[in-house]
Amino acid sequence: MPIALNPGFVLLLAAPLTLALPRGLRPPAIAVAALAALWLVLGRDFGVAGFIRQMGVEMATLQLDALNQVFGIALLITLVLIGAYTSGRQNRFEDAAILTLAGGAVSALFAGDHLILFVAAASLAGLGATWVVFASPHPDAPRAGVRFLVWHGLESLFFLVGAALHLVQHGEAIEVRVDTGSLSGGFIFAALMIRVGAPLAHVWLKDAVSRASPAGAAALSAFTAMLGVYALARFFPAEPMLMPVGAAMIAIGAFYAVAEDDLRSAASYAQIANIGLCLALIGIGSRLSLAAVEGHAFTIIIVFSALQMSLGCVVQIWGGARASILAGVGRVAPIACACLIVAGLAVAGAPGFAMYPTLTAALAAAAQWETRWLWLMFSGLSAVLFAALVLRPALLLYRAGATPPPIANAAYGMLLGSVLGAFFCIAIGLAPQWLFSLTPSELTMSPFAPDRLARQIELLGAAGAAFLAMYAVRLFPRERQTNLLDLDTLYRGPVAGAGRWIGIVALRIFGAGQRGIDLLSNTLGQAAGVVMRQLDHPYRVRLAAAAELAALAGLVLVAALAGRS
Amino acid sequence: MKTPRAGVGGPWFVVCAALLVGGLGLEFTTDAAPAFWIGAKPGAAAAIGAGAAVFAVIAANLARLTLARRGEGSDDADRS
Repeated sequence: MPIALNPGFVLLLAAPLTLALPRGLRPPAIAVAALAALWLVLGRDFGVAGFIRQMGVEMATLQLDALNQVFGIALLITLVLIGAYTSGRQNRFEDAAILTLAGGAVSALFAGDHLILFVAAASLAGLGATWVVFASPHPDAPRAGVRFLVWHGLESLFFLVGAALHLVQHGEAIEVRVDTGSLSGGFIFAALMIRVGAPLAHVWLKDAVSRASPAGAAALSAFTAMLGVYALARFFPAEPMLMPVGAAMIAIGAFYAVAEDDLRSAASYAQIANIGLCLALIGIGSRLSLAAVEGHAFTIIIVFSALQMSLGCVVQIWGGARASILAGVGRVAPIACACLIVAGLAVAGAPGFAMYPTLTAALAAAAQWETRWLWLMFSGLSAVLFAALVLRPALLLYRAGATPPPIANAAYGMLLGSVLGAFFCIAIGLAPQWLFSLTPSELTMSPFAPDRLARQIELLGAAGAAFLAMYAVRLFPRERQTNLLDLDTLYRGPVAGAGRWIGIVALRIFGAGQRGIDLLSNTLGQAAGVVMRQLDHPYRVRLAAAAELAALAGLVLVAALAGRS
Repeated sequence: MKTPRAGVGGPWFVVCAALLVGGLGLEFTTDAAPAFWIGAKPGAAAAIGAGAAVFAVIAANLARLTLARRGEGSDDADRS
């Protein structure tokens, strides 16, 4: 009889265990927990199980269907890779944080239509994600963790209000889809917009990833925003608003990905752009587009984790992954840089690499007259990312002229994780049919049909040749150590400054008020003391005594008059 | 280790040019489904790719001109 246990609970149970395990056992524990959860996903039929009753609400702890199975397999495969990767360094708190993040995300996946459990698990994943940032040794990690916590606090607040309103209006489970026009739907939609990194909330991913440790960055790429994509596909399929939101994410992500000096931030922006592609497909809402979303989300999870793992190796060897300092690193760290180029090719949708088949499915889904602008953006995105994450790093990593120091490799575990990630980038690209067979409405298209193959290699070839020609004549700007301003600069700069100023003014007003109250109470106390002292000496002949006597006589007169009437 | 005298720009350019020529050749010789708009016609992918490369260069220049600040202080301490 199959076990009716939410696979995410296995990871959550393993999280505190890793705090107590010795260093050598922690990476195997992560991998074993992920494999056990994977066994639970694959070992039972679709359906609902594990009913419990909490505070008068009956809910199921496990709902397995084709949609969450695809996401679950991708997340758990990635967790196995991260388990191998974490053996390259020791940080028990980060190991526990990664398992908490992964456990929360996987639990939320398999909560299915049960909103309360989904919200609780998603919030737990958010806390795990902030813990991952706090556990990083990066000097800016504490401040980045606080900013990340604020974003997740806001998201959880929206989730809480939306879930509470939905519970009152419609009950615990979501029957078909949530209406964005309703108050509860609006709050849940807003929370998910934060989770996926929609415009105005797109900065948290790159802020957190660029400050996380190499392993933490891979975990954040896989387990945070992609949960939002899943939730939008489940709760808001065919929501038209998602098309312009997705298009804006593609534009923002592509713009910053080519210009960012820090390649880890550039990879995060590229992920934002690909998430935008998924949102646009959810907005289209056809069976083909929803199947393409699942396939594309699967490859995003694995490919971007592999990319962050490779960049993490470069960070460990070279001390940073900024384009401005990477000249010649390819000859110092050949394996890590080869994995980086493979992951970059996968991100760009090069034929034979992981994202190519799912990108062709996405293009097929958008190939209609009404959505031709989205089709154009999808096509252009792969070409831009080819320039940003393949050609630009390759030109820097293997730059001529500089005499490189001797070959240095990252820790064995980190290299193992990166190589396994690169293997998946190639394996999925060469044999995508097993992935297509997992999607709810099986994709029957052939990504290697000559016309599709010709189109993509022509697109990438033209983009590459044009970019390299412009690079050769120095039209592309010289690499300099810079930070690009984005929306986070606003709330870290002027808004933070305004907050500090308001705080100082409020403290001064409070201090002035306190001083005023002290003065007033002193004055009143002195006056009361004078009155009391006078009352202690009623026999002293003075004007005040006469006044007291007159007041007393007046009171007696009033009482007498009142008694007569 | 010997000092490398040439980068990889040349080989990459050759590969990209070969992909472009191969893709164009394959596209014009294959019986494809009717194009649903001009962007899906044979040869249009090359124009889209070149346009995307121009976008990348313009975006990088624009971002560096308008949004870049010198990386100093702890923001740039990438060691982890």
